[in-house]
Amino acid sequence: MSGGADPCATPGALFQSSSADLDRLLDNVGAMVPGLTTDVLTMVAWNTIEDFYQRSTYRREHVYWQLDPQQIVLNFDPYDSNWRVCRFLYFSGLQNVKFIPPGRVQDVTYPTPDTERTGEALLALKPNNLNVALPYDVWTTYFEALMNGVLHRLYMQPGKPYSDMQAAQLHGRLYRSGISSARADAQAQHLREGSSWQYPYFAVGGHADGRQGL
Amino acid sequence: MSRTVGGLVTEARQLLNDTVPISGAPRFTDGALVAVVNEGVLQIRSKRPDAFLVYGLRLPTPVYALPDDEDTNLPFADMFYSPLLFYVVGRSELTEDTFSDDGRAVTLMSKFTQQLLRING
Repeated sequence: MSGGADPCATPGALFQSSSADLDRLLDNVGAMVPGLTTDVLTMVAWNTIEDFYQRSTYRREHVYWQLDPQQIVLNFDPYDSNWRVCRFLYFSGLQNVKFIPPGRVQDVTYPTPDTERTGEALLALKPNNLNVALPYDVWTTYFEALMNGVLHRLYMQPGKPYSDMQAAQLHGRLYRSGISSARADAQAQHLREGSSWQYPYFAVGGHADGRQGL
Repeated sequence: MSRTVGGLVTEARQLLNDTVPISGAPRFTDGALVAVVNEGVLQIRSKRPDAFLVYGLRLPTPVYALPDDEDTNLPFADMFYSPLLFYVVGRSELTEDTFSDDGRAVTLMSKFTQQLLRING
Protein backbone atom coordinates (compact mmCIF):
# COMPACT_ATOMS: atom_id res chain seq x y z
CA MET A 1 0.00 0.00 0.00
CA SER A 2 1.11 3.56 -0.55
CA GLY A 3 0.70 4.90 2.96
CA GLY A 4 -3.06 5.50 2.93
CA ALA A 5 -5.29 4.32 5.74
CA ASP A 6 -6.45 0.74 5.53
CA PRO A 7 -10.08 1.01 4.38
CA CYS A 8 -10.90 -2.15 6.33
CA ALA A 9 -9.99 -0.36 9.53
CA THR A 10 -11.96 2.78 8.80
CA PRO A 11 -15.59 2.68 9.92
CA GLY A 12 -17.92 3.46 7.07
CA ALA A 13 -15.16 3.33 4.49
CA LEU A 14 -16.31 0.04 3.07
CA PHE A 15 -19.01 0.32 0.50
CA GLN A 16 -22.37 -0.87 1.63
CA SER A 17 -25.65 -0.23 -0.06
CA SER A 18 -27.73 0.23 3.05
CA SER A 19 -30.52 2.25 1.50
CA ALA A 20 -33.94 0.67 1.32
CA ASP A 21 -34.87 1.74 -2.16
CA LEU A 22 -34.27 1.05 -5.81
CA ASP A 23 -30.58 1.94 -5.49
CA ARG A 24 -30.03 -1.06 -3.27
CA LEU A 25 -31.42 -3.37 -5.92
CA LEU A 26 -29.47 -1.76 -8.77
CA ASP A 27 -26.23 -1.72 -6.77
CA ASN A 28 -26.49 -5.34 -5.70
CA VAL A 29 -27.29 -6.71 -9.13
CA GLY A 30 -24.94 -4.36 -10.95
CA ALA A 31 -22.06 -5.48 -8.75
CA MET A 32 -22.72 -9.15 -9.49
CA VAL A 33 -23.34 -9.32 -13.23
CA PRO A 34 -20.40 -8.67 -15.57
CA GLY A 35 -21.00 -7.00 -18.90
CA LEU A 36 -24.36 -5.58 -17.82
CA THR A 37 -25.35 -2.09 -18.94
CA THR A 38 -27.15 0.19 -16.52
CA ASP A 39 -29.93 0.71 -19.03
CA VAL A 40 -30.72 -2.98 -19.32
CA LEU A 41 -30.51 -3.35 -15.55
CA THR A 42 -33.00 -0.54 -15.05
CA MET A 43 -35.35 -1.96 -17.68
CA VAL A 44 -35.28 -5.42 -16.15
CA ALA A 45 -35.68 -4.03 -12.63
CA TRP A 46 -38.88 -2.30 -13.68
CA ASN A 47 -40.19 -5.44 -15.39
CA THR A 48 -39.54 -7.37 -12.19
CA ILE A 49 -41.14 -4.84 -9.86
CA GLU A 50 -44.28 -4.61 -11.98
CA ASP A 51 -44.47 -8.39 -12.25
CA PHE A 52 -43.94 -8.77 -8.51
CA TYR A 53 -46.92 -6.56 -7.74
CA GLN A 54 -49.12 -8.18 -10.38
CA ARG A 55 -48.42 -11.74 -9.28
CA SER A 56 -48.33 -11.21 -5.55
CA THR A 57 -51.14 -8.64 -5.33
CA TYR A 58 -49.05 -7.31 -2.49
CA ARG A 59 -50.70 -3.91 -2.36
CA ARG A 60 -54.42 -4.21 -1.81
CA GLU A 61 -56.90 -1.42 -1.21
CA HIS A 62 -60.41 -1.86 0.09
CA VAL A 63 -62.66 0.85 -1.31
CA TYR A 64 -66.32 1.80 -0.95
CA TRP A 65 -67.99 2.98 -4.10
CA GLN A 66 -71.15 4.81 -5.04
CA LEU A 67 -72.92 4.88 -8.39
CA ASP A 68 -75.38 7.69 -9.04
CA PRO A 69 -78.77 7.05 -10.69
CA GLN A 70 -78.55 6.43 -14.44
CA GLN A 71 -74.79 5.94 -14.20
CA ILE A 72 -73.52 2.53 -15.23
CA VAL A 73 -69.71 2.68 -15.18
CA LEU A 74 -67.35 2.65 -12.21
CA ASN A 75 -63.72 3.33 -12.97
CA PHE A 76 -61.17 2.57 -10.29
CA ASP A 77 -58.13 2.91 -12.54
CA PRO A 78 -55.85 4.76 -12.05
CA TYR A 79 -56.02 4.52 -8.30
CA ASP A 80 -53.91 7.67 -7.92
CA SER A 81 -51.09 9.41 -9.75
CA ASN A 82 -48.59 6.65 -8.91
CA TRP A 83 -50.62 3.48 -8.67
CA ARG A 84 -52.82 1.64 -11.14
CA VAL A 85 -55.32 -1.13 -10.63
CA CYS A 86 -54.16 -4.49 -11.93
CA ARG A 87 -57.12 -6.65 -10.90
CA PHE A 88 -60.21 -6.98 -8.78
CA LEU A 89 -59.92 -9.29 -5.80
CA TYR A 90 -63.44 -8.78 -4.54
CA PHE A 91 -66.48 -6.80 -5.60
CA SER A 92 -69.97 -6.41 -4.20
CA GLY A 93 -73.01 -4.22 -4.68
CA LEU A 94 -74.23 -4.99 -8.20
CA GLN A 95 -76.27 -7.92 -9.42
CA ASN A 96 -75.49 -7.84 -13.12
CA VAL A 97 -71.97 -6.73 -13.62
CA LYS A 98 -69.31 -6.77 -16.29
CA PHE A 99 -65.65 -6.37 -15.35
CA ILE A 100 -63.47 -4.57 -17.85
CA PRO A 101 -59.81 -4.97 -16.89
CA PRO A 102 -57.89 -3.52 -15.34
CA GLY A 103 -60.22 -1.40 -13.21
CA ARG A 104 -63.57 -0.69 -14.79
CA VAL A 105 -66.93 -2.13 -13.80
CA GLN A 106 -70.13 -1.77 -15.77
CA ASP A 107 -73.63 -2.29 -14.42
CA VAL A 108 -75.35 -4.20 -17.21
CA THR A 109 -78.78 -4.19 -15.56
CA TYR A 110 -81.57 -3.31 -17.99
CA PRO A 111 -83.20 -0.88 -17.79
CA THR A 112 -80.56 1.37 -16.26
CA PRO A 113 -81.40 1.76 -12.56
CA ASP A 114 -82.84 5.05 -11.32
CA THR A 115 -81.49 4.44 -7.87
CA GLU A 116 -78.15 5.08 -6.20
CA ARG A 117 -76.08 1.96 -5.76
CA THR A 118 -73.26 1.39 -3.28
CA GLY A 119 -70.84 -1.39 -2.56
CA GLU A 120 -67.27 -2.42 -1.86
CA ALA A 121 -64.30 -3.53 -3.87
CA LEU A 122 -60.91 -4.94 -3.05
CA LEU A 123 -58.33 -3.83 -5.59
CA ALA A 124 -54.84 -5.09 -6.32
CA LEU A 125 -52.55 -2.22 -7.29
CA LYS A 126 -49.25 -1.88 -9.08
CA PRO A 127 -46.89 1.10 -9.42
CA ASN A 128 -47.04 2.87 -12.76
CA ASN A 129 -43.37 3.75 -13.08
CA LEU A 130 -39.96 3.01 -11.66
CA ASN A 131 -39.77 6.27 -9.72
CA VAL A 132 -42.69 5.42 -7.46
CA ALA A 133 -41.39 5.14 -3.91
CA LEU A 134 -42.19 1.62 -2.78
CA PRO A 135 -42.76 0.95 0.92
CA TYR A 136 -39.83 0.13 3.17
CA ASP A 137 -41.32 -3.30 3.77
CA VAL A 138 -40.94 -4.32 0.12
CA TRP A 139 -37.30 -3.23 -0.04
CA THR A 140 -36.40 -5.21 3.05
CA THR A 141 -38.71 -8.21 3.46
CA TYR A 142 -38.90 -8.91 -0.27
CA PHE A 143 -35.55 -7.53 -1.37
CA GLU A 144 -34.19 -11.01 -2.02
CA ALA A 145 -37.25 -11.90 -4.07
CA LEU A 146 -36.87 -8.82 -6.25
CA MET A 147 -33.15 -9.41 -6.67
CA ASN A 148 -33.80 -13.02 -7.68
CA GLY A 149 -36.39 -11.83 -10.17
CA VAL A 150 -33.96 -9.41 -11.78
CA LEU A 151 -31.17 -12.00 -11.91
CA HIS A 152 -33.56 -14.58 -13.36
CA ARG A 153 -34.48 -12.26 -16.21
CA LEU A 154 -30.88 -11.25 -16.87
CA TYR A 155 -29.39 -14.75 -16.87
CA MET A 156 -32.16 -15.91 -19.17
CA GLN A 157 -31.17 -13.50 -21.94
CA PRO A 158 -29.40 -15.18 -24.86
CA GLY A 159 -26.07 -14.08 -26.32
CA LYS A 160 -24.87 -12.01 -23.38
CA PRO A 161 -21.70 -12.36 -21.31
CA TYR A 162 -23.98 -13.13 -18.37
CA SER A 163 -26.24 -15.68 -20.08
CA ASP A 164 -26.59 -18.67 -17.76
CA MET A 165 -29.63 -20.92 -17.99
CA GLN A 166 -28.81 -22.89 -14.85
CA ALA A 167 -28.50 -19.78 -12.74
CA ALA A 168 -31.64 -18.41 -14.40
CA GLN A 169 -33.64 -21.44 -13.33
CA LEU A 170 -32.36 -21.27 -9.79
CA HIS A 171 -33.14 -17.57 -9.41
CA GLY A 172 -36.49 -18.10 -11.11
CA ARG A 173 -37.47 -20.65 -8.49
CA LEU A 174 -36.37 -18.38 -5.67
CA TYR A 175 -38.24 -15.46 -7.23
CA ARG A 176 -41.48 -17.41 -7.54
CA SER A 177 -41.10 -18.61 -3.99
CA GLY A 178 -40.71 -15.00 -2.86
CA ILE A 179 -43.83 -14.01 -4.75
CA SER A 180 -45.80 -16.80 -3.11
CA SER A 181 -44.62 -15.62 0.27
CA ALA A 182 -45.59 -12.03 -0.52
CA ARG A 183 -49.01 -13.14 -1.75
CA ALA A 184 -49.61 -15.20 1.38
CA ASP A 185 -48.55 -12.24 3.48
CA ALA A 186 -51.00 -9.96 1.69
CA GLN A 187 -53.77 -12.55 1.97
CA ALA A 188 -53.15 -12.75 5.72
CA GLN A 189 -53.34 -8.96 5.82
CA HIS A 190 -49.72 -8.82 6.91
CA LEU A 191 -50.33 -10.63 10.15
CA ARG A 192 -48.15 -13.58 11.04
CA GLU A 193 -49.39 -15.78 13.84
CA GLY A 194 -52.13 -13.17 14.23
CA SER A 195 -55.89 -13.28 14.47
CA SER A 196 -56.75 -12.21 10.94
CA TRP A 197 -58.05 -15.61 10.00
CA GLN A 198 -61.46 -16.76 8.87
CA TYR A 199 -62.99 -20.19 8.68
CA PRO A 200 -62.70 -21.50 5.14
CA TYR A 201 -65.75 -21.78 2.96
CA PHE A 202 -66.35 -25.49 3.55
CA ALA A 203 -66.36 -24.98 7.32
CA VAL A 204 -69.03 -22.28 7.49
CA GLY A 205 -71.88 -24.33 6.13
CA GLY A 206 -71.56 -23.13 2.57
CA HIS A 207 -72.75 -19.58 3.26
CA ALA A 208 -70.43 -17.78 0.94
CA ASP A 209 -69.85 -14.14 1.71
CA GLY A 210 -68.05 -13.58 -1.54
CA ARG A 211 -64.61 -13.23 -0.03
CA GLN A 212 -63.41 -16.78 -0.15
CA GLY A 213 -60.05 -17.24 -1.68
CA LEU A 214 -58.98 -13.66 -1.23
CA MET B 1 -10.08 9.51 -22.33
CA SER B 2 -12.72 10.87 -24.61
CA ARG B 3 -15.29 8.35 -25.85
CA THR B 4 -15.82 10.15 -29.11
CA VAL B 5 -15.55 8.99 -32.69
CA GLY B 6 -12.49 11.19 -33.17
CA GLY B 7 -10.90 9.86 -29.98
CA LEU B 8 -11.46 6.29 -31.12
CA VAL B 9 -9.86 6.92 -34.52
CA THR B 10 -6.89 8.63 -32.88
CA GLU B 11 -6.37 5.76 -30.46
CA ALA B 12 -6.73 3.18 -33.22
CA ARG B 13 -4.15 5.04 -35.24
CA GLN B 14 -1.74 4.84 -32.29
CA LEU B 15 -2.21 1.08 -31.99
CA LEU B 16 -1.72 0.74 -35.72
CA ASN B 17 1.50 2.75 -35.40
CA ASP B 18 0.13 5.03 -38.05
CA THR B 19 0.53 8.37 -36.31
CA VAL B 20 3.70 9.52 -38.01
CA PRO B 21 3.44 9.34 -41.78
CA ILE B 22 6.19 7.17 -43.18
CA SER B 23 5.93 8.39 -46.70
CA GLY B 24 4.29 11.73 -46.22
CA ALA B 25 0.80 10.24 -45.83
CA PRO B 26 -0.66 7.97 -43.17
CA ARG B 27 -1.24 4.35 -44.00
CA PHE B 28 -4.96 4.70 -43.29
CA THR B 29 -6.96 7.79 -44.11
CA ASP B 30 -9.50 9.15 -41.63
CA GLY B 31 -12.19 8.11 -44.08
CA ALA B 32 -10.95 4.52 -44.14
CA LEU B 33 -10.78 4.28 -40.34
CA VAL B 34 -14.16 5.84 -39.70
CA ALA B 35 -15.66 3.45 -42.25
CA VAL B 36 -14.35 0.60 -40.09
CA VAL B 37 -15.77 2.33 -37.01
CA ASN B 38 -19.18 2.37 -38.70
CA GLU B 39 -18.79 -1.31 -39.53
CA GLY B 40 -17.90 -2.07 -35.91
CA VAL B 41 -20.89 -0.12 -34.65
CA LEU B 42 -23.08 -2.30 -36.89
CA GLN B 43 -21.46 -5.43 -35.46
CA ILE B 44 -22.16 -4.26 -31.91
CA ARG B 45 -25.73 -3.41 -32.89
CA SER B 46 -26.10 -6.96 -34.16
CA LYS B 47 -24.39 -8.80 -31.30
CA ARG B 48 -25.39 -6.62 -28.36
CA PRO B 49 -28.65 -4.81 -29.15
CA ASP B 50 -28.88 -3.83 -25.50
CA ALA B 51 -26.02 -1.40 -26.10
CA PHE B 52 -28.40 0.75 -28.13
CA LEU B 53 -31.23 0.84 -25.63
CA VAL B 54 -30.80 4.52 -24.79
CA TYR B 55 -29.82 5.58 -28.30
CA GLY B 56 -32.96 3.92 -29.64
CA LEU B 57 -33.41 0.36 -30.82
CA ARG B 58 -35.80 1.36 -33.58
CA LEU B 59 -33.65 4.14 -34.96
CA PRO B 60 -31.30 3.59 -37.89
CA THR B 61 -27.80 2.71 -36.75
CA PRO B 62 -25.68 5.88 -36.81
CA VAL B 63 -23.17 6.45 -39.60
CA TYR B 64 -20.23 8.71 -38.78
CA ALA B 65 -17.93 10.79 -40.92
CA LEU B 66 -14.81 12.78 -40.18
CA PRO B 67 -14.17 15.60 -39.52
CA ASP B 68 -17.88 16.32 -38.87
CA ASP B 69 -18.21 13.73 -36.10
CA GLU B 70 -14.82 14.33 -34.51
CA ASP B 71 -16.45 15.24 -31.17
CA THR B 72 -19.56 13.09 -31.47
CA ASN B 73 -20.01 10.70 -28.57
CA LEU B 74 -20.36 7.05 -29.40
CA PRO B 75 -23.95 5.87 -28.98
CA PHE B 76 -23.37 3.30 -26.24
CA ALA B 77 -21.93 2.83 -22.76
CA ASP B 78 -18.19 3.07 -22.22
CA MET B 79 -17.86 -0.69 -21.77
CA PHE B 80 -18.26 -1.11 -25.53
CA TYR B 81 -15.46 1.30 -26.38
CA SER B 82 -12.65 -1.16 -25.84
CA PRO B 83 -14.17 -3.96 -27.98
CA LEU B 84 -14.82 -1.44 -30.74
CA LEU B 85 -11.23 -0.25 -30.59
CA PHE B 86 -10.02 -3.83 -30.97
CA TYR B 87 -12.38 -4.26 -33.91
CA VAL B 88 -11.16 -1.14 -35.68
CA VAL B 89 -7.50 -2.06 -35.27
CA GLY B 90 -8.04 -5.73 -36.15
CA ARG B 91 -10.23 -5.01 -39.14
CA SER B 92 -7.74 -2.44 -40.40
CA GLU B 93 -4.92 -4.95 -40.09
CA LEU B 94 -6.81 -7.19 -42.52
CA THR B 95 -6.03 -4.70 -45.26
CA GLU B 96 -3.63 -6.31 -47.71
CA ASP B 97 -0.42 -4.29 -47.73
CA THR B 98 3.26 -4.53 -46.83
CA PHE B 99 2.68 -3.75 -43.15
CA SER B 100 -0.36 -5.91 -42.47
CA ASP B 101 -0.23 -8.59 -39.77
CA ASP B 102 -2.86 -11.29 -40.22
CA GLY B 103 -2.15 -13.00 -36.90
CA ARG B 104 -2.66 -9.79 -34.98
CA ALA B 105 -5.81 -9.08 -36.97
CA VAL B 106 -7.35 -12.45 -36.10
CA THR B 107 -6.44 -12.05 -32.44
CA LEU B 108 -8.01 -8.64 -32.19
CA MET B 109 -11.16 -9.62 -34.09
CA SER B 110 -11.59 -12.61 -31.76
CA LYS B 111 -11.00 -10.36 -28.78
CA PHE B 112 -13.77 -8.10 -30.03
CA THR B 113 -16.29 -10.95 -30.15
CA GLN B 114 -15.17 -12.40 -26.83
CA GLN B 115 -15.46 -9.10 -25.01
CA LEU B 116 -18.95 -8.60 -26.30
CA LEU B 117 -20.30 -12.06 -25.64
CA ARG B 118 -18.30 -13.72 -22.90
CA ILE B 119 -17.37 -13.01 -19.33
CA ASN B 120 -13.75 -13.99 -19.76
CA GLY B 121 -13.21 -11.95 -22.89
